[in-house]
Amino acid sequence: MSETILVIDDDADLRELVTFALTESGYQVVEAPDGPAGISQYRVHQPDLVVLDIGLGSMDGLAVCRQLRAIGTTPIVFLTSRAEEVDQLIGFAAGADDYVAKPFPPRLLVARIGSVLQRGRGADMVKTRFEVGPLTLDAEARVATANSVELDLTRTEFELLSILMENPRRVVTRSMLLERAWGSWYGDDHVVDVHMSRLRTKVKAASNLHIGVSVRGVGYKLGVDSTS
Amino acid sequence: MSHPVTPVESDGMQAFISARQSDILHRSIEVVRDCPDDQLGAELHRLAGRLGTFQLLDAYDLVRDLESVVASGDPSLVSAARADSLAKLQAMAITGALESGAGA
Repeated sequence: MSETILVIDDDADLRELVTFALTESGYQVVEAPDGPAGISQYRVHQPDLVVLDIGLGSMDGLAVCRQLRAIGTTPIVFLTSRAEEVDQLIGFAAGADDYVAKPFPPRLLVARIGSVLQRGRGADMVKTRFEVGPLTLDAEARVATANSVELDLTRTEFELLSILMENPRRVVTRSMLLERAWGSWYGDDHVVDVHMSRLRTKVKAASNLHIGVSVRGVGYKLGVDSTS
Repeated sequence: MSHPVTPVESDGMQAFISARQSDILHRSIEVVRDCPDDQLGAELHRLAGRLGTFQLLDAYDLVRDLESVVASGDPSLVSAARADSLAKLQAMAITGALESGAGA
């Protein structure tokens, strides 16, 4: 079965063009003209990848990206006319996997999408065991170690460590951490800080490693430092 | 100005793009003519992305130039540049229609 791509763009001409290019390349395509419709389509179709315009109307693409990241880890490729570097950085911080600036040759977009999907397929093959520096985590056995010392973690702490180790070079947003560790959460998101602090303390006590670097206003990245 | 799009597409995509160019160019004229001043910069930015992707490269250059003038913030310059751009876009649409008719 072919992979499904969700295209969220309020420009009907470009949405139609992207759909044509992807369909021509063998993908199934679902379209949405705005953020709320895109999130709704995402829940219904569970696409393999999302092409997301940053410059959407009332709910911009960055907000949509954060919501999608809270729901799942589906790759997201931003399609945008905001090509400045700072916007790219913001896009990646929000959880984007790649970035294509308008105007773009459709072939380039299809190639970038193929590349991101390929990386995802590779990641799927090793998704239950993770090793980052002196940290290891086996999601099936529910065992995590630091410097070969097994960590005594609660379920929440294990989930927080899992998501950080699955994304070792990415900033993981608070909403992603909340969704993963708590599911639907309607309270203060500082609960993340509390549990992250406990996780850090346990890792530090067991192995003298410092993990979990706070990125102000966004979330955390793994970071493993044995010098502090 | 260098163009960011290299039109190396499949025959199907090339036909798809060609079939829509005239309509997109005419709607671009409407944007340049009718868009309120306070929304013009943002609309031109979006429009440039669409024109470039649909390989309307002369119109893309024109709109990017107008966008630069709008960004400068001088109302008298904007008004003159807007009128000039509108005339040039209309000429492109007429030329395109004639070429399309000649080729039909």
